[in-house]
Amino acid sequence: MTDVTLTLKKSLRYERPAIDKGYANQTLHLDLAGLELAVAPVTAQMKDLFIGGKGFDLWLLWNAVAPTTRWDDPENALCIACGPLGGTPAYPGSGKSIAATLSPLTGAPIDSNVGGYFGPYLKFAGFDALAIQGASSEPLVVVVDGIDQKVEVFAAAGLPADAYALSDVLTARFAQGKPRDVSVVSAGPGARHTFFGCLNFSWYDPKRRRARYKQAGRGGVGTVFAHKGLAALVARWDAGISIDTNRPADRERLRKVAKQHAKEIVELDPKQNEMAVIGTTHLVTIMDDHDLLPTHNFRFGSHREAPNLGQAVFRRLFDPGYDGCWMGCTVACSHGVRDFVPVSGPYAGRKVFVDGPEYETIAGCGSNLGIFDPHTVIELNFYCDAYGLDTISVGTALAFAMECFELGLITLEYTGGLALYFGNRAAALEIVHQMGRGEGFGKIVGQGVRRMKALFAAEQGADPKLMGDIGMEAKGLEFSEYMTKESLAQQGGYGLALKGPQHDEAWLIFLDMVHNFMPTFEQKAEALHWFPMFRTWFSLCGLCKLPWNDIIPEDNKQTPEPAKVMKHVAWYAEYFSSVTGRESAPEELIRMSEAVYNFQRVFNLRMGFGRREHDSLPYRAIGPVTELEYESRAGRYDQQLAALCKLDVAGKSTAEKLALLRRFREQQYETLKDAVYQRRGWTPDGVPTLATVKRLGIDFPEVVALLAAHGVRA
Amino acid sequence: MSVADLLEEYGDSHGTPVVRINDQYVSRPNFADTIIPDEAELFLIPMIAGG
Ligand code: SF4
Repeated sequence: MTDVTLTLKKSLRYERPAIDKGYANQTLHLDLAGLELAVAPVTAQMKDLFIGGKGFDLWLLWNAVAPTTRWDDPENALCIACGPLGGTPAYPGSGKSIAATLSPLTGAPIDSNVGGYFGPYLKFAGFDALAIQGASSEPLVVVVDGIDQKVEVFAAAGLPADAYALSDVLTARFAQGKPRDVSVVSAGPGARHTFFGCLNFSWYDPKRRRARYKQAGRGGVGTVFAHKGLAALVARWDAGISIDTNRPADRERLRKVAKQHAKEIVELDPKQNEMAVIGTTHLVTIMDDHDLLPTHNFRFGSHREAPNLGQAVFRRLFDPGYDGCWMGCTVACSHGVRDFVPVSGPYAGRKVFVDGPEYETIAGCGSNLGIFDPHTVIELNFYCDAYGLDTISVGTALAFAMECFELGLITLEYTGGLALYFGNRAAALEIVHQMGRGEGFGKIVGQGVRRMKALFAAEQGADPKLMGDIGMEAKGLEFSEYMTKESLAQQGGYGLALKGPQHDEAWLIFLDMVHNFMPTFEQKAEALHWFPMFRTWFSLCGLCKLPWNDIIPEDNKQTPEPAKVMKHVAWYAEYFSSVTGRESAPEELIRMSEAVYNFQRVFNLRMGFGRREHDSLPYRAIGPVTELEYESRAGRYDQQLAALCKLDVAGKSTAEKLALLRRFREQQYETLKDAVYQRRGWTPDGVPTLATVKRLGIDFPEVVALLAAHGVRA
Repeated sequence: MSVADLLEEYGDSHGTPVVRINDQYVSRPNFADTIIPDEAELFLIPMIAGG
């Protein structure tokens, strides 16, 4: 390896503020163009309205950009924040960072909630959020050193390109003998060459003596990072963190509620999903059994080989041991595979540790590509992380390219000789390596589904209408890995999500389809109001949502609203009150999120999105596109046409039935939009009303003027 | 006894979507065909979350 040289270009000494009730009360701003560093206060209004985390990110981003700003303009800011509850070691799932920026895929704000130690260390070092603007022509490493109270910007030479090696080098460089004191954020070469680069956030695993990683995957945050010329961000803080480090308003109250939740998880996880052993891999076979596992570009929801990718296999493959991506998380679901030996790429034949895979990666880079071999999925996972690529977008984009190839919409010559049949493991690996190198057809796939559709139409004469139906993106973002054809509520969960079809706003498939908790449009709309709001709250506070409803109290089903797991919601209200001193009942948590959620919708509007037309879905998310899909589940669809549309299907051709079903289902989705907009306090065009922004306290003059410009007045 | 028989006897009014028998997950579509072995431990999995 070449020698690594770090040349100091700029430094800032500062006095670290005492953390007070979960806040450092200041933010750090860095302009890479002139290497300017500045510290700004956190105002009372910021805390009241935006709470922290994603809320602070959005507010800083709003102030940094103009309506004309594009993702690669210097003024686009990459913001990373923790949140007032983040960094609490006693409460499960309390170490998240939230990264936000204008997305290269969507053009609108994107946010990604990620584990690892960076966010909490940044806050304890003295900053609730970090905003980076500008761009540098030479690779830079930015170090926020909370122990020595300085921020330093280095020009870097000789750094390894891939995220794993780079984080190892920088961890060793800045650890001063204590690697747990360091967290590194990095992307990788693929982030530069594609539009869906991810960020790797590290945490040091003392038992395995290695840096481990979690990914801020969605929407190209890593692409923005790489475009700005950042090689890495490093945060340094004393890992001896306790319940007192956040200086909570009421330590005893916090200790009590944290202990309750942590203890319940330890007791119940072994009886429920065993996430501490198998992570989220149990979902593979469960989704498959319910016809919800995307296979072959979301054409079908199950496959006879799916058990090859299920928990029974990963139970054996995961390296046993504690896998919490934040200190003390008793869910500890961030598993990895030890001594894996890739067969391709720069690490071929060497032993590596792979962080993951989680369900999304298995479905995206496995079943959705027709790949049912766990070792190929692990290898794809490994290289996506090393190159800084979002495994979900890689899977969904490549699945689309594979279907286009199988349908003859693109030729073998166009793919550079790669026969992109579903199940072609070698080709899938090669595409990912091409993304890493910025070459060949991989570079085209790396532009994402939306750009591929335009390119295939222009360069291969592919049918735009068919591609519109089967290209699984909305708002420009690739779908995450759940089938939504049979769940209208989840169609709304994806289509009405602010950043695009990512399940972290609402995961309603089982509540809708299996439990039948929401048979009416009004009930679905209520769910599509409450769940996105509550889920948003976790990202405001620096929390992971898994402890809320992936392990649930044994008496939960006796409660009036089991889907909401209100016992835990009450604990979270207690948690928030005890740290911040702001007394909050469960309803107040929803109101906090509502302000930020509506602000983000208005932000979308400001960037030229955020109206009804932008909440549309490709038809494959709603129903069967091809006759093959219809006929594979003909009994189900025939029965629906008869029961719901009161149609006599006898004697009708598949093509006729497809068209009838499509008309019915698309109408249902539009009716759902109306119900949700009304429930959220939006106009029929999907814009928050003046009364809504006033009620939530986000009626800033610029917001009011923006609404007026879109015809929304009192 | 199948999983479906057991849940009927137990009075599963909440429509459990998934059970775990020792370390094997079984989903509702397979309840009727899955026989519970002797001495097995069976857990009802609520599956409220997932994503
Ligand atoms: S539940 Fe899993 S992902 Fe969430 S903080 Fe804990 S270990 Fe990390």
